[in-house]
Amino acid sequence: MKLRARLALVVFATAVPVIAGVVLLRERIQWAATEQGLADYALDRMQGGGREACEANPAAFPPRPWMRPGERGLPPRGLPPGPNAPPGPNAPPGPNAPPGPNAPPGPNAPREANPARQAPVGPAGEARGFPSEAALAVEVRTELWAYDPNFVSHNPMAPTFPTAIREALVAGSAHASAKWFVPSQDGIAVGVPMPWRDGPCAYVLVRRSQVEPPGALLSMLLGPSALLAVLFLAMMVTAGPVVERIRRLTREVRASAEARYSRPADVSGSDEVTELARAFNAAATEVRSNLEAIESREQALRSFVENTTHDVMVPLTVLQGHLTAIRRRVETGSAVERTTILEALQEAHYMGSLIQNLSAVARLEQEGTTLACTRVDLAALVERTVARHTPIAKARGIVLEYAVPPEPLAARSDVTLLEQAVSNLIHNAVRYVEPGGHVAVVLARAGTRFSLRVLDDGPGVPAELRERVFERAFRADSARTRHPDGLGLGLSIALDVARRHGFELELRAPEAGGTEFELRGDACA
Amino acid sequence: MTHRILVVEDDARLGEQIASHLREAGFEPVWIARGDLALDTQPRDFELVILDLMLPGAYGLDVLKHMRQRSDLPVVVLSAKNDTATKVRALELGADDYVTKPFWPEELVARVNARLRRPGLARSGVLEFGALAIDPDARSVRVDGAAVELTRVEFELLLALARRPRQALSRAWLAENVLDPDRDGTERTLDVHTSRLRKKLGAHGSLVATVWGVGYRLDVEEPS
Repeated sequence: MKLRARLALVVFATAVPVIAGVVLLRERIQWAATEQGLADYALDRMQGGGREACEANPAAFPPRPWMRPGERGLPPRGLPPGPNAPPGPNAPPGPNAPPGPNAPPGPNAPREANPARQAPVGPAGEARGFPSEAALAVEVRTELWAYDPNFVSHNPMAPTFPTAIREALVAGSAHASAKWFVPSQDGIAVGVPMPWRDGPCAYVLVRRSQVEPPGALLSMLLGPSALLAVLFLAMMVTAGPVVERIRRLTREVRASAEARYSRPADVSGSDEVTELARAFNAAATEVRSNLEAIESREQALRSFVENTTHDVMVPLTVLQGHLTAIRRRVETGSAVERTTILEALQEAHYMGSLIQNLSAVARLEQEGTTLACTRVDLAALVERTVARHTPIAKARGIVLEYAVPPEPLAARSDVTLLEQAVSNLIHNAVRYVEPGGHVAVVLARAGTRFSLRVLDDGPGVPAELRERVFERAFRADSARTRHPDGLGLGLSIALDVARRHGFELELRAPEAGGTEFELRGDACA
Repeated sequence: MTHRILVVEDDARLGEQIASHLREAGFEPVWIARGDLALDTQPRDFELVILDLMLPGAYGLDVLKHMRQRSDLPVVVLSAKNDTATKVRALELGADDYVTKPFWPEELVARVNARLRRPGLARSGVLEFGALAIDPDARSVRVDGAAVELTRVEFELLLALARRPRQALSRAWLAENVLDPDRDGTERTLDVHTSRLRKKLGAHGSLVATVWGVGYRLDVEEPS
């Protein structure tokens, strides 16, 4: 829902019940005042000569039971003026409102005093004819009837005493009222016990065709309505610029979103809309940096998949070549060359290591990677990694040996990554040692630390390359070859893993030749 | 004696291959392809379990947990998921070892052998390896029944190696644990003692093998 529509709705939704409540309250007060006024009128009239007239001739009392407003004594005290009422109608009827002047028995009185019709007497000019419907709607009429202690009137034209009022009076009320249903008008009937409580005029019923003068409600509603209208207008005028600013911010946000959140929204001003614009700019910055992170990760993933594909496809193709050569040899019945099988095995082994390394790289390169460190049994780790490379070492004619201390030796580390690092050191050695050469893995405790050495009697690393051994040249060169001098991904991962654990990885060139890697770190107590 | 080994692996070809390689290595494999079937097996019928983790019917780690509740049968877990959490969980649940796919048949057999050998480690009493007999309590050594006089260091060296037959011990460890710390405790001294020990063992001197880059090892036949 639009802001203005909502404002309007809120104004109406709050104002209408309030006004309705006020009207209801006013009606009740009005009712009570009218009831009191009519009761007072009844007493005044009966005490001011009405009783005598009534008791003298109860069947004809009152000689003229109803009167128009404006006639003497009406409306009674406390009643607001009717439309025809002259100024100052609130003058108490009191003793100067004797029944006398009110009671000239008009010739039409008996005829018209039919309880079923209850037609009011029109103004003097209309008194002879039946009043029109319109007159019925606006005419305010007041009647007075007298009843004996049994609530029976001696006047045959008197209406039946209303049961509800009767019950209330019997129960002891000073006076009681009920609705009087007159066509097109809501009237009131008030029953009043007379102080003398006996005779044919012990009770008086006063009826008035309207509780309050017509138009009173309308005039009362006019004030709040006007106020409401003014309030509403003010609200619309105030909301105008705000709505316009919100619309502008909406346009800016849309434009920013289209420009991938690179365009900030205008933050001039100092109200809540400015706050919103600032909040949006902050959110846009966050979104933009997330977008960039996702894109860079996507890019990394894409290049990872491309590299993986390349890295795996080459050895796989070589492996297929070897298997085909073996199949041909077998089919033609000639002997399969040992080197072909050995190379096929090596390719398969290489692929296995490669995929493990690529998945390790994917983990290490992922931003914010945390190591899943636990207490890792280093002897078991060495035994596992040596067992992994022993078949290939054996096939190549290389002696791969290891030693672990008999006492338990553990380090807090991520078992997968550490195992991969050690595996890479061993694989590296096994790959580049000549057949007949040696590779040894020695795990030892050195005080509170562990030392894990991988040494070989291979060709060794030339001094000028020693610094670059751990570089990821493998990854940087897109047209790389598979065996770039035996250095590459595996060693760079080993170094990365060591650093992340706070371990040291050192490359040494022993005097006797060959290569020695040593991984050192804190051992668990 | 043949060892009965339970192989739980859902891949038909790999399961078949593992069983076949174990058979060739002299074991008696029983291969089942479903995790829920593994739950119904009797641990006492086997001496070791090779358990794949990704199984139909029941998850491998649940099978492992179930087996651990009933016995301390050695369990070697096979895992294609090379992630730390799974391995750590498997070890926590009582797996003795794990082998990550891909693996070589020899690799798996080596791990199985290592596991089956393990309980024999804490042996006491006289250590006998063919012609060689070492009595730790009497501190005596016999070769072909004849007593051989050894120095304290020579005896400690031989005993240390004999306690872990076929497994190399590093020179550094031996130097630290065998040599008299009050005297010259270098690895060179150790080599001298080793050389003397070999001479005293005569024809069986070659049992004390030099391991390149590592140290020494007692190269005795595996008892079968």
